[in-house]
Amino acid sequence: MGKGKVKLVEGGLRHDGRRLDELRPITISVGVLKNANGSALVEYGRTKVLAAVYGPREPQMKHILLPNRAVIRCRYHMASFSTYERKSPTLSRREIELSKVIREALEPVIISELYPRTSIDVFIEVINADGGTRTASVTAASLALAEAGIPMKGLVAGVAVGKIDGYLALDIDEVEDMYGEADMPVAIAPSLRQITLLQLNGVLTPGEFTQALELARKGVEVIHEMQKEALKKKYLDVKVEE
Amino acid sequence: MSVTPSAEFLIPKLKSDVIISMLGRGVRPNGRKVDEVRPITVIKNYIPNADSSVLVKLGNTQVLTGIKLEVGSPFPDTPSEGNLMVNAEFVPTASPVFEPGPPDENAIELSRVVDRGIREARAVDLSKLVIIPGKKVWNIWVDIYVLDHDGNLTDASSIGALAALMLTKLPEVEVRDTGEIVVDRNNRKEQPLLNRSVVTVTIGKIGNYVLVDPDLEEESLLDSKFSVAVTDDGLIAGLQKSGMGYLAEDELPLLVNMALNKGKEILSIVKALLKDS
Amino acid sequence: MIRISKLRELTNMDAVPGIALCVIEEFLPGNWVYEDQGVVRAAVVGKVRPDLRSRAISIRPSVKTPQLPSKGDVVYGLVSILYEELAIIKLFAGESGRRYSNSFTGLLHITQVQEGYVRNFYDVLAVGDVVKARVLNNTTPYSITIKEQKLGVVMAYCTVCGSPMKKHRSDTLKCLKCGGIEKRKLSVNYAIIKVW
Repeated sequence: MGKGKVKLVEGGLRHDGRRLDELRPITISVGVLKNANGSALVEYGRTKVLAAVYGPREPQMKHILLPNRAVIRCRYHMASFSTYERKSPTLSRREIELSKVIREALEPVIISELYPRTSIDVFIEVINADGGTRTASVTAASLALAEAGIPMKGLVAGVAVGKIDGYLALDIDEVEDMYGEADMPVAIAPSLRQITLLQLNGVLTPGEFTQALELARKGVEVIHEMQKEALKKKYLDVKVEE
Repeated sequence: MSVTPSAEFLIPKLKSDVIISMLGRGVRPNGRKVDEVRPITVIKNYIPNADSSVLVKLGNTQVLTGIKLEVGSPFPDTPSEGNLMVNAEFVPTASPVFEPGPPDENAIELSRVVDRGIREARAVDLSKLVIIPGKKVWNIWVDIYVLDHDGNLTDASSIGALAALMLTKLPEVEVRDTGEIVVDRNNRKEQPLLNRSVVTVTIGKIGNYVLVDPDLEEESLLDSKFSVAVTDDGLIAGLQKSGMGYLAEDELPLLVNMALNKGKEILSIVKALLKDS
Repeated sequence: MIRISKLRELTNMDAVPGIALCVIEEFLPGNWVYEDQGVVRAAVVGKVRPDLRSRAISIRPSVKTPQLPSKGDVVYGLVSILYEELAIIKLFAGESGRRYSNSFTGLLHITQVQEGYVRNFYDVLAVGDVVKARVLNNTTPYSITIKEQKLGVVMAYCTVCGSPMKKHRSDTLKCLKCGGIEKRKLSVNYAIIKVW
């Protein structure tokens, strides 16, 4: 990590003018695809992620099925034009790891026992990458699952906290991730107070870790409110019933 | 190995009689006229990290096209030309029948049809992509992502590639004495990259009936499809027959004329869409 | 006991997955909700429907919930493979004719075709036939039956020339083109089929 090469925090503000505890502008749209059973498009600043859910369905490969629950299949994939330099469209080792981490961020909230011997497929396409793609993916995937009507214990939202120039900062972008000292993506199901994704790339003191987690929790709560708003706007405010 | 597709053939069989009798009266199940193209919308510069990009909607079909410009080496047989590469991905978000994995025969056919249209029409003058002759040239990557599949992916992709290329401007480059190349993406050449517009028009055939811009339901009934790459000066820059059926000799002039007319229409729509907004 | 004000607050309330509705002493979990540590929470997006008679709280989903066949449903299927005593049938739509977004595997045992002895499947079904069937269980692969009068083949194509066939007698079909006659276990609703 290149320390001091780029000044990331000056006068309490970050390179894009945000305060340390400020999220990027977030937009959420649900139901953006016709074919998918559920879909969502989530933007954290310039990061843009599309998630689609198919299922519960019978997959081609029947041997993966489980007798007591649905299996979750998850693919995190970056479009070749999503990064600064063109990325090969084949799955990298990073994308394979993130597919697993994101699936395991969703597993605890999906009530999979209701659909034994089926698969629920979550496909995530990163359209533009500017840091925080895995956490935006979790936020989008959880909305796509909700739109697909798959019973869930709660919505999950994610955000990354970083350490830049010695300060903890919420929702770091690519520049801050690249030149900062630490990156800690977190996903939480706020209504259940469960952490379903937690990674750390970098070094934090135990005290900093506690603070970082608290910062993430506050960020996630804001995003969770936006998730609820987006679902209500699309599915609950449309018509006055009775 | 290419194999006869065995996917869903049932619903079409139950429906095809109804639809053929409708076509006999000149109407399509979706209410369109036989030569009517679905509404086209274009969102420009959808992907900040791409050199240029568009999200094209053709009815409910959604295709995202991004262009990346990279400095690379020319091929040994064309030392004074840059390279243009078209790649299409049918991502599994788009349809319940798309599986994750490398592009299948349909994706490869699609990208090659779009590529041929652009290449053969000389829509991009590859000789203008040279930075150091014989050593360094621009590589243009046209990446097409199908996000939602409601039929006629070829035309939606071709519109996407065209619109993205229309928006592309080469960055300024500085060649240092050491041979190092410095690219300045914040400053771009005034002259747009595209010097001729080309778009494909796909016509579907069911029995003796033809229809322009088939949607997914219609596509599942088609005997054959015919894609024509049409330039803005009314030339044919590529042809592709696909599907399990045939084209009759005497209907070809009609199909080509139809495509030329529609091509002109689509090109002017796309140009107008890019001008405003 | 539930307070009136709480009842009023719950009725028709907006729900998204995870929100707490009430404690289990107030209402039992009904449909599209779940109970966790004594708290009943919503599992889908929809409107809350408390029911005083059954003392259960449910959600009426506002999103399209997953469509899967369940026990007792009448479904449409396509005969894909015939073995001696077993037929594999792709279930693609419910009784209303509305297609499932994904098709499911159904298994038809030879004893579930009709009352009485059936020597082999070739007397009652052919690959490519569309059948109306009733589902007997709740997980894939679904076991199905076509014993009832209204169940059985509803659309068939000639095994010789592929043309549509017309009902000939109660258990035979006649090809419109080549005149061939074939045996089937027919539904009384043969050729009456709406699928979309």
